[in-house]
Amino acid sequence: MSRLGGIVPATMPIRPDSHRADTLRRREALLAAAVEVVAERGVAGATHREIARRAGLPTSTTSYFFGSLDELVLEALRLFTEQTVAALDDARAALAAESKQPIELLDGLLDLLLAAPTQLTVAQFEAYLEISRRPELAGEVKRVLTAFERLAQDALRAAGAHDPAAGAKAVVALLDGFALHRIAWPHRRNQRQIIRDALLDLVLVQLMAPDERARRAAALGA
Amino acid sequence: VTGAGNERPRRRTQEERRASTRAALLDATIECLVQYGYGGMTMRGVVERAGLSRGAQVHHFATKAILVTDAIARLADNWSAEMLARIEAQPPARRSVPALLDALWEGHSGPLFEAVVELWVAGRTDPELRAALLTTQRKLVRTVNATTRRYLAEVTEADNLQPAVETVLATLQGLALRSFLFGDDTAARQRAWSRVRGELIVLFNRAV
Repeated sequence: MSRLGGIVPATMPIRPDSHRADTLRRREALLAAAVEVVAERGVAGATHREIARRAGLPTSTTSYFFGSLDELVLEALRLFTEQTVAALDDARAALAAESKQPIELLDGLLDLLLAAPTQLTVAQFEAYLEISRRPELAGEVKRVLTAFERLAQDALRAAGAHDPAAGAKAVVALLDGFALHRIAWPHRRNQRQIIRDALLDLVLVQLMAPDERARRAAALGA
Repeated sequence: VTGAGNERPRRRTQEERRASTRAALLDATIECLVQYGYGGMTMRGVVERAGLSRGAQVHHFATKAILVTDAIARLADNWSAEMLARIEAQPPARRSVPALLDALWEGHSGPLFEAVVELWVAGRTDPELRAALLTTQRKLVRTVNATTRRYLAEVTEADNLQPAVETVLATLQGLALRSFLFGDDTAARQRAWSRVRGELIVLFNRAV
């Protein structure tokens, strides 16, 4: 059996176009279904049968397109991170196109985070956790984090932060930390307000003049 | 670690054997969680890793959820105690908010935090697990809150440190997540921490 190994032979139209388009669609449906299953049941809970069922295809389809379940899951996580990076870069482009107040930028960041369905957040964390088991995912996760940081960095620069690069790392860490809590605590009261206040606190630190920051740090024995 | 074996050898009591079996099971649970994830770990694997017979586990823990819940509680207690011990080991002049932050960061740097993340993620579909995790997180917030008060001369009863503590913990945990990328590269971890640490110190100062 020839393994397609995740690469669709797009440059070799050995079959009619409509057939090829259909093949592509089925492959994509499987990958999208795999992302859903991973988000719902975790990587450990993903099976050929469940992924195919979700995609509305016979179970055998999965082994036609992917050499193994591992390969399918990895490919799905890759697709997921790719889409996330694209969404973050879109948000960044939109941010550059409009001139907004710093506070509006922050609210925009927050909206982006809270609008993500919990399931997508879970897929993101499954990817984090899979790094220790599949080191090849590290690069993908890094791309997501970098895209997120670029966005935060632009927002902080526009707000007048003293060191947007360092500040962006802190902001992304803060939002990731709250995203983690949100998975297990989705209906926390005043969730948005709590995260927004925390974000504002962190950004205000960023806006202080260097000597003011030094004075405050020294007061705590740093 | 129990006190067994400190003195001259003697037969352990029933009670001691029970406690050490329990501890071995709970430790093995955390190790299995780290290695296989919540979905992938099995009761059987835990018992094998603990070097016990299958009967031992059934006797102590009826279900996976109970086993894991107890393992988390034990983990959280050890974790908080360890972080506090790290500060208390410093000379009094060094016991400060920056030292507290460093101790917290170190506490989040081992495989234990990875186990905690496994559990948060698994908690989305398991209410029992979720309740145990929220208790653990609240406990951690309280411990950090109380410790901070001790090291901040200017803080009064009226000051509400809770939001700052939550912000600090969320940021620290988010950064610890990112550190999964660094694997064993401790220098890279420290570099990432040193940049964010400064922001958190100033943030704490603003809170009081």
